[in-house]
Amino acid sequence: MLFSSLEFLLRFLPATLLLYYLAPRRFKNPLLVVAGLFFYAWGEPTYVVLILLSCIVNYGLGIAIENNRGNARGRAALLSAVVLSLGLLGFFKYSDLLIATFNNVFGSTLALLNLPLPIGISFYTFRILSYIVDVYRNQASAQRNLLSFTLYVSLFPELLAGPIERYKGIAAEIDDRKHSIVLFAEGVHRFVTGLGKKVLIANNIALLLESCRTTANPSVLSSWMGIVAFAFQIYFDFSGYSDMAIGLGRMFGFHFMENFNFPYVAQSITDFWRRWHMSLTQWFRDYLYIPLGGNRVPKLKWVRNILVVWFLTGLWHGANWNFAFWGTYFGALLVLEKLLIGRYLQRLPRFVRHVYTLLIVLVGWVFFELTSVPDILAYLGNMVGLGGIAAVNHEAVYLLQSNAVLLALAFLGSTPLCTAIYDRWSEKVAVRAVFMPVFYLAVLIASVAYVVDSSFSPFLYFRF
Amino acid sequence: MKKLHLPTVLTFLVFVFGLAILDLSAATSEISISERRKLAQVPEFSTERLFDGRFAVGYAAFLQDQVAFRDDFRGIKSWMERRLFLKREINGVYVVNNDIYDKFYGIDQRYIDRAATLISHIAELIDSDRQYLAVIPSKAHMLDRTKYLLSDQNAIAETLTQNTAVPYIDLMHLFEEPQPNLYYVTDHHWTTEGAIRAYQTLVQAMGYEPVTDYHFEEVTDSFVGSLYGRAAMWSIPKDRIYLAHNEALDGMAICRYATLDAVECSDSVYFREKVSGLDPYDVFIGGAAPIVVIENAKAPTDDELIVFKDSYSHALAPFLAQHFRKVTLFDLRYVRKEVIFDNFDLNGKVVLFLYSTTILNTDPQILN
Repeated sequence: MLFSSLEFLLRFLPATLLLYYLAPRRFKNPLLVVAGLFFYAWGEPTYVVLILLSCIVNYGLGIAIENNRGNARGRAALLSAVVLSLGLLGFFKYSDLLIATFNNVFGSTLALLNLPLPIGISFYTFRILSYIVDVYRNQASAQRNLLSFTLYVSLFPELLAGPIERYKGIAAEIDDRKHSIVLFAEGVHRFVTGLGKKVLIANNIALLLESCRTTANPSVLSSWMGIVAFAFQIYFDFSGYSDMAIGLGRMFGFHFMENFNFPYVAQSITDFWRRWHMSLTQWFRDYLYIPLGGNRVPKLKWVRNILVVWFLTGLWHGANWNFAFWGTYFGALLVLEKLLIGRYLQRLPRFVRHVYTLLIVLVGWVFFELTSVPDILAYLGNMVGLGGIAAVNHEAVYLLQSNAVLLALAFLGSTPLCTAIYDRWSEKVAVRAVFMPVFYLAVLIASVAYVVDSSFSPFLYFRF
Repeated sequence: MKKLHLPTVLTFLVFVFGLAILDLSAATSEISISERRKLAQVPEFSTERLFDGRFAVGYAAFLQDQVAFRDDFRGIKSWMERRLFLKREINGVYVVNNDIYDKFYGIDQRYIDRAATLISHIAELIDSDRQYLAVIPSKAHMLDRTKYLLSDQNAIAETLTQNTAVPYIDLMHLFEEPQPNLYYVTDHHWTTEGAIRAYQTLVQAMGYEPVTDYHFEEVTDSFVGSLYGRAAMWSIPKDRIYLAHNEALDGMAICRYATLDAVECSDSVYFREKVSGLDPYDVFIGGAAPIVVIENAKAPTDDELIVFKDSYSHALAPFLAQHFRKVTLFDLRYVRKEVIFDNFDLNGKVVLFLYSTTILNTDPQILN
C-alpha cells in the first residue's frame, strides 16, 4: 500500500489512528504489528510470510547471540543470521542478475527464475541486520519480546522504503514512547509536506521526464531537461516518502532518523553523500566500511574499501550492473576527492563547487535511470549534441515553458529556503495556529485531487 | 504550546476522517457522465483474488473511481495545472478560449503508410471509376502550431495522396482557420454544421449539387463529449446537438449489422434514445457498427455509395444519402475486408475512403 494512495489516506490511516488511540497502552504495539502486516500483505499477500519467518528466526538468533557473547556459538549465530538475511535478499533480488550474467559470459541458456521481488526486502533485511550486529557488538540488548521485535521489523511507516532505522536508535521507543499533541502536529507537518512533495512535484515532473525520454525529436535542451526532471523526481519522490514515514512515525510516538538534508545544495560529492539517503550511507559505513577497516588501513586498502562499499551501495539500488556502475562511479569520485582534488576544490568559489557537484550527480542519474550501455551512451551523446541533434527545438521550448513553474518550484524546494522561512516564522501564533493549518489543508486537498486524477504512480524506491 | 498546535492536528484529523466518512457514506455510481465511462465497482471478493493481489488492485481502482467529490477533485487539479503550474496542456488537451482541443502531436509514419497500402489495396479490388479519398483533420488543425505542440496534419493527407492512386478530395482546408461551431466544444467530433460543410465539398467533387435546405432540431443542450472529462474544467459550457431535417432526411431507412445475421432496421437515421446514453453522439445513425446501410427511396439517382469510414461519418452519412439510393458504411475496425468482399458487391458503385487523422494515426485496426 502506498502512502499516497486513497486506500491508505481514506481507509488504512484513519482506521489505524482511531484504533491506536482508542486502544489501551498494552494493546498499542500488537495493534501496530497487525496494522503493519496488513499494510504489507495488502500488496504482497504471499511474501508477508517471509517477513514473519524472518522475524521469528532473527528474534531467536538475536537472543542466542546475546546469550553467547564472545564465544563460538555466538559467532555461529551471528553468521547464520547474516547468511540467512543476505541469502534471502540475494536469492530474491540478485539470482536472475547472476544467471543472466553467467549466461552472457559463458553463452549458456540457464532459465531465469523470474521471481517477483518482495516489496521492501532490501529495506527490512538491512534493518534486521542492523539489529543482529548491534546485539553482537553489545551496542543493544537483544529484544526478548517477539512482538516488539516484529514491530521493529514491520513498523508500517518504515516497512517498505525506510529510513533504514538502526535498532539501537529506536529500541527504547518500541517498548515505551510518549504521545503528545505537539509530536502529532510535527507528524502532520512532515506527512503533509512529504505527501505534497511526492504527489504535486515528483509525480508531476515525472510527466516531463516521460516527454523528454520518449520524444521523437530529441534536442540537447530536452536531454538536459529530462535528466534534471529525473533528478527532481527521484529526490522529491524519495525524500517525500521519507518525510511521510517520519511524519507517520511521529503520529504514533516514534522519532525516526532523518534521511535527506538538501542533497542538491552539496558542494562536493563527499558532501552530497552526507545528505542523500543518509540512513543507507550510514548503514554501509557502520556495517561494512568500518568492519573492513575504514580509513585506518594502508592507503591502497582504504581505496579498496571505498570502492567495495560503493559498488555494493550501487548494487543495493537494483539488480542490474548499471546500478553497480553508478555506485562505483561515486566511489571513484570520492577517492578522487579525498586523495587529489578535495583541497583544490575547497579553494574554488562556492558557485563553481555547486556546478561541479551537480554535473557529476546529473551525469550519475543517467547511469542510474537507463539500464543498458547503448541507451546510456546515446543519452550522454544527446546531452552534448553528438549525432547532429538540434541544440533547441520547438518541442523542447514548449516543454520548458509548460513546466517552467514546476521546475522553479522543484528548484526552490531543493534548497533549504522554505525550511529556513518555516523555522523563522513557524512559532509565531498567527502562523502556527492559522496559516500553517490552512496550508496543510490546501496541500491535502490538492494532493488528493492529484491522486484522484492520476494513473498508477508507484514510488521509485519500491523496486529496490 | 499545546493549544498552538491544536489547529494543525484538528485540521488533519477533520480532513482525513471527514473525507473517509463522507466517502464511505456516499453512494456509488455506475457511470461517470463527465468522463463518459463505466466506473469501477467494489471488486469481487474471493480468497484466491485476495492472495494473488487482484482484489487489492480492484479495490484501488474502485476507490479512485468512486471517491466522494471525484469531479470536484478533478476540477481542482485541472485548475491547479492551469492557474498554478501554468501548464500549457491538461491531460493531453488544450483549453483555448473556453474551447477544448485534442493535442494532436506525433505522427506515426508506419500507421499512415499501412493505411495508404490498405486503401490502395481495397481500391484495386473494386471495379469502379468513381472512387474518392478524403481526410478529416482533428480539431487541433485549427490551432496555431507555433503556439502549441502540434503536428501538421496535412502531412498525413500528403502521405495518403502520394501513396494511393485514389482521387483526393481536400477537406483539410475547410477546417484550417479557427472557426466556432464546426466541432463540438467538448468532443472530438464535428458538429452537424461541420459535417454539412464537409458534405458540400464531397458531393460537389462527386458531381452532385449539394442540398442547402434544412431545418434544425436541438435534441440536447447538455452534451459532454470525450474531451470534456479530460479538461475537467467544469465551467466550460456543455454542447448542444442539432439534428437536421428535410423531406429526404426524414424519409430514410437504416439497417445496422452487428453481424451478417444480426440486423436491426429502423425508419429514422436519428436514434433519439441514445441522447441519454453514455455517448449522445450515437444519436447519429445509432453509433458504431460494423456495417450500416442507409436507404433513400426518394433519391434523385440510382447511384449507390460505399464508405469506408470511422465515427466522423456518422453525422455525415445521412447528408450524403440525399444523393444516393443506398449508402453502405463499412467500419474496418469491426469487420474484415474479406467478409465485405464475400458478401457485398462493391463494383460499379461510388466509393469513398473517409478517415480522420486521429484514427489514421493511432488505430492500426483500420488495417484489419
